[in-house]
Amino acid sequence: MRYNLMLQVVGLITLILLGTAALFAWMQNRPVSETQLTTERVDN
Amino acid sequence: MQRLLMHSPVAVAMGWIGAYLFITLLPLLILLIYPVTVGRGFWIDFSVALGFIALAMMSLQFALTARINRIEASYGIDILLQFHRFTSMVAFVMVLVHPAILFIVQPQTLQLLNFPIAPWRARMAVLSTLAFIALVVTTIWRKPLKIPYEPWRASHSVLSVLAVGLGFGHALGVSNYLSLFWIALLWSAIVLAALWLIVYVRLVKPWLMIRKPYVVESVNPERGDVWTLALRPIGHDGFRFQPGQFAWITLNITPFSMREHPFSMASSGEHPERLEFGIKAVGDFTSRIKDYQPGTKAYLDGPYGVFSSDRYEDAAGFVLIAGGIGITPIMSILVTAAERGDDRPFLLIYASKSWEEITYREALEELKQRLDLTLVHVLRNPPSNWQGETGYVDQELLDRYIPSRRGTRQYFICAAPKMMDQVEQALQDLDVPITNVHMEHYNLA
Repeated sequence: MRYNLMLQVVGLITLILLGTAALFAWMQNRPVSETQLTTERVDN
Repeated sequence: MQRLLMHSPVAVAMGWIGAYLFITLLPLLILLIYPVTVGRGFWIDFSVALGFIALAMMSLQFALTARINRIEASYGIDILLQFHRFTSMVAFVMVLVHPAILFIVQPQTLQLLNFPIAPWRARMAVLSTLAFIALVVTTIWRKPLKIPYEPWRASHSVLSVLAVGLGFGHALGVSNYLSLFWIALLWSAIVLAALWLIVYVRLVKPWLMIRKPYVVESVNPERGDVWTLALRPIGHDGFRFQPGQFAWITLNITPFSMREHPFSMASSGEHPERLEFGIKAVGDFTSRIKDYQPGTKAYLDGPYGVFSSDRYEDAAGFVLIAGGIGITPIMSILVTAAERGDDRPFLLIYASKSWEEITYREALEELKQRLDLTLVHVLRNPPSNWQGETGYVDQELLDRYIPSRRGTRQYFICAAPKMMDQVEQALQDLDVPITNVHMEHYNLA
């Protein structure tokens, strides 16, 4: 039974890891607005 | 830590899981502090993230299996090894999905599988994946493939170093993200830590063991095809242990050979100058135990394990459930309690094949004189005049013997996996709090 519990824990960990991987990929490719681009250009 | 574990094991588990997730995700989190580079597309970055996570998980396996006392002391080696197996499978699937996404999104990358003309970074990826596949296949199907334990263990170490080393080499070669300073620094730290753990397990620990040798004092037969191996420390005081713990034994060879085997101590935790192990002759190594002569050199790595009554000093009493050779750690708990004059009630439910095969039968009878011990033998093949319990340790039998105030006792189970699962389920159905149930899996391989 405790192995079943652990299976659930590992399942939850896997979901968190996959979710973070997807979030990371989205953040690296998120659409950047023109305002943001202008701000970055001014900063530079 | 021990008190927190007793009162809130869930809090400790959350702490460890949080630490595991933090280390696994740290490379990705650090990448987020850098400005976004030109987007390569969601799926490519998702694939890269999976590769990073898988590599971090693979590196962490070295920590999970290095027998680090701080980690092991929370839940025990058997639980850690099961976590190691499950998370390895997750990492394995990620390693396979990582290139599969690339091949689907950018079919031209399939050319990277053409080994002779592929760049080194791709060759290292292929070799790393092959090493990982070999790791998984030889572990899951070790018995059907008839791979003996010792060669398997040696190959497991070599293949895991290859899988992680080549995986890291692949990531360095691709160098999209590893060219960033903090990422390169972090990955170097992770890989160096994994390498250090290998050096520690393979060289430092055996060297420490050589400095504290033992010698076989006697090998005595017990009932049930069990042998009691007694070891005496040479030139040092031995080690103190909590009753119920176990150690890894190396007999008659150098500890650098890594051919060691885990066994529970059966003797009193109050006597480090003579350590006794109960060993059932069932495998290649255990069948040869009887042939070792007094005077044979031995080395110990231990003690390990959390299956001990010492961790529950404020328990009102103990329910001990043993099957066959599972009696060994429980014998240690009882002998130690008797020696300390422990006046708490002990209930031992002990399943054996037959009356003649009850290991430590006479010694247990003697312990009844020195302890508040209720002894219930459960026999599968009882003699014709047997008046006691027969069959299996099931819910109905347990209900008759365990106290009605279930939570006042701590429950220790050590038996074959099937019996442990059944007893654990039965105890849960009898409303025994899950945090009061402790189990020892003696098959770690």
